[in-house]
Amino acid sequence: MTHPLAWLLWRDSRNAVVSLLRRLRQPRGALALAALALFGAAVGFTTSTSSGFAGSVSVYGAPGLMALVVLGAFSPLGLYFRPADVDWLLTAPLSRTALVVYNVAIRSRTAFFSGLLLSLLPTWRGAGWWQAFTGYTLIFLLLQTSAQWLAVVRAWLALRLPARGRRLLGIACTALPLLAVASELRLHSDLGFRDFFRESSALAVIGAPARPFLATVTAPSPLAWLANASLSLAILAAAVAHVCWLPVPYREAAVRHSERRAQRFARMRSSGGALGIGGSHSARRVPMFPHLAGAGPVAWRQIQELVRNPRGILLLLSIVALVAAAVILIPLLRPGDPGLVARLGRSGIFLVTFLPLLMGDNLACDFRRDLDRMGQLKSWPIAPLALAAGQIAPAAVFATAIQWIGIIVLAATTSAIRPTVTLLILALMPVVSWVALCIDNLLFLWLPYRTVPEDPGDVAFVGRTFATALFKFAVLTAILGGTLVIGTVALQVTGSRVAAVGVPLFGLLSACAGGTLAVAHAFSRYDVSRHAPV
Amino acid sequence: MLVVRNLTKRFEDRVAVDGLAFEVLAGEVLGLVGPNGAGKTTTLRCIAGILQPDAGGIAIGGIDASADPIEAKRRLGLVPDEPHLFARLSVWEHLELAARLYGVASWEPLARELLDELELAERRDTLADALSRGMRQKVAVASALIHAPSLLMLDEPLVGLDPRGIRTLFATLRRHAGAGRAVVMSSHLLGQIENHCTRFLILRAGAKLFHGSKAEIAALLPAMRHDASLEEIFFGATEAPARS
Repeated sequence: MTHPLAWLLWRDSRNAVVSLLRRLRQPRGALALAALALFGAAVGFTTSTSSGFAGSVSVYGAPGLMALVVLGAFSPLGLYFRPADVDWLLTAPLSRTALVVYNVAIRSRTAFFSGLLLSLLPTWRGAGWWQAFTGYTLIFLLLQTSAQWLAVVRAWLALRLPARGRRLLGIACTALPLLAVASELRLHSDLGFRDFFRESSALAVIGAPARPFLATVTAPSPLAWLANASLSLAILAAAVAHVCWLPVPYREAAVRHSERRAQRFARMRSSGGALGIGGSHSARRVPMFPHLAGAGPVAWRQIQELVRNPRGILLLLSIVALVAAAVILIPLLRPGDPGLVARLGRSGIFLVTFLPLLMGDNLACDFRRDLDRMGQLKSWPIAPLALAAGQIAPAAVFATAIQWIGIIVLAATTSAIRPTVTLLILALMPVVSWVALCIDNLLFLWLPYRTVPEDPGDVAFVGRTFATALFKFAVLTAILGGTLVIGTVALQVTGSRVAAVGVPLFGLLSACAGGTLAVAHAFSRYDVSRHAPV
Repeated sequence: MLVVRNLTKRFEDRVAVDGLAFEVLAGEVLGLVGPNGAGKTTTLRCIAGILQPDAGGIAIGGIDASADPIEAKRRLGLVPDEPHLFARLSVWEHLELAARLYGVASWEPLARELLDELELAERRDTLADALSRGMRQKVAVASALIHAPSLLMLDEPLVGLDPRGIRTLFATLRRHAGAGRAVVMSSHLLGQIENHCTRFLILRAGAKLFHGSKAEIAALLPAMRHDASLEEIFFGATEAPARS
């Protein structure tokens, strides 16, 4: 390790592993490890490779991957260096090549980790684990390196073209391939969707640079794997060489980009995520709620912020709209399957019920948004129980509203479930949402985390988010499963439908009350000096 | 030790530094002062090679920074306004990193000396994310000194330091300048720096207003006492028409 950057990379990675191992010995770390082990065990039971996967990848993969590469022009990665890198390395006597290679190397860690995770998923695996692992790692490296390459090309163009010229060039670069594909689409209107993707020469040209990367994932033999992996590495090396060579003020572009990103990250990290910052500056004002032992003003503050910045709600609503559109449109394309509408309708209702709960970070108008204000919350003259209720209520109301919209639309258009069942589900939703948000907040107060990574390459964040989502899903499934079992038993024992609904509803309401009490207790025990994460 | 000629830096339509010219001699501690947006940080960043000037020249220790930026950087140490450290490196490892970056062969004795001097010895093996802001500031200072740079630049170095830390920092800077090197320090804490800087460069809107010792600047300002404080000089200077 003679080169200082190689030494830094090694020491930083080694210390990260040591710190991770140290944390795993603590109860919180052990819990995260248990979640990962659970996932590993689940994967272990389904080690088969997907036979249809290689076919789908060869048809749709290359144009799709190139679309992601183009989207990389808007990636926060680009020329991003961590704040410490900016201060220490960009002022040091280091060559531009050394800095570029270091930046690629530091992102390789994230690519390696992401590649490892994806390669473990059996449905995303082609010929075998090794091909999948190396292939996915190379694909992530392609996305990261191309984002850097695009950022440098943009900086180079900025020196040579006025803003209007750059915009026109961008439009032309996007429109030309789209026009080529559209004209081919008119010529081959008799082909099906999959066949068109297979036959289109325009898509073949567009996807050509991505093919070796995808072929590495699905390589059928060691020789094919070696050839494609080598070609992929050569493409990456060419992109890195071009980044090193293009005559642009690299340091200045990197510093400006990194500082903008770092400031944005800092704002996001203290505001509960990307959707928590910005918003309108309008003076739209929600009327103040009754005091209710302090819960009213607490809930009012969260709702007021959410009304002025509703992007999280809009995102969830658009996802629900997408699910509904897919459920309604897919049967129109396949009219020969009469049972399809009901099957898709039930799946859609399941999705719109669970998605707002699993994507609760987008509704983080609760303790998660107040991570940097916990001291202030503790100073308010409000009992922890009222504070907890006031914090959870707004998110529960909005989650329920989104679920109701999705369920009503899908139930009405597909008739997938009976009206009485629909009404029952609608009645249960507020309680289920409240319980789910109690779980979210409990997890957050027990294992405080930020809903935004420390920087775009924060590997630990990916693992933590994954473990948290897995745990939440397991607990939620257990609660809902338990409710179903209790309802069935009540029906069997009493023979009364009222009891079959009432007993589990009572159970869920008890879970609500217990969850809120637990959140209040966790908030009381939260120590600002010890528990606030970096 | 540092020669800045006609330095100009624009950000789109805004001129951040406008034809700035000054010199810093060996043994000198220059205080860079000015209101917010005066161009202090931009000037330091241009000298450090982080930003590329639109016009003008910079020479550090006789090395032209545009002709040989790597060699110029070897003679420079920078302590930025916000001390960003590598969260997973210890205090000692930061010093080792700085030594490696600047190619210092036998760095351990000086590192131990700096840790003692800046009261960091007990925190030697602590990871950066467990340090207070003041401690991180001291680590940044120690790391910038590990290669004994000809020119040390500090951007708002007093923020976050306790009184003892401030006293220690000034002692360190005096020792550094006393060894025939130069120091440039920007700060808003005029009362703190006025007795520790040998000369001052007052900026406003990216341009130089005054450059000289306190007494020299006071003499240029109408109705200013010769023993006026830096704060009085600052307000007199920034509210008066520009001259150099």
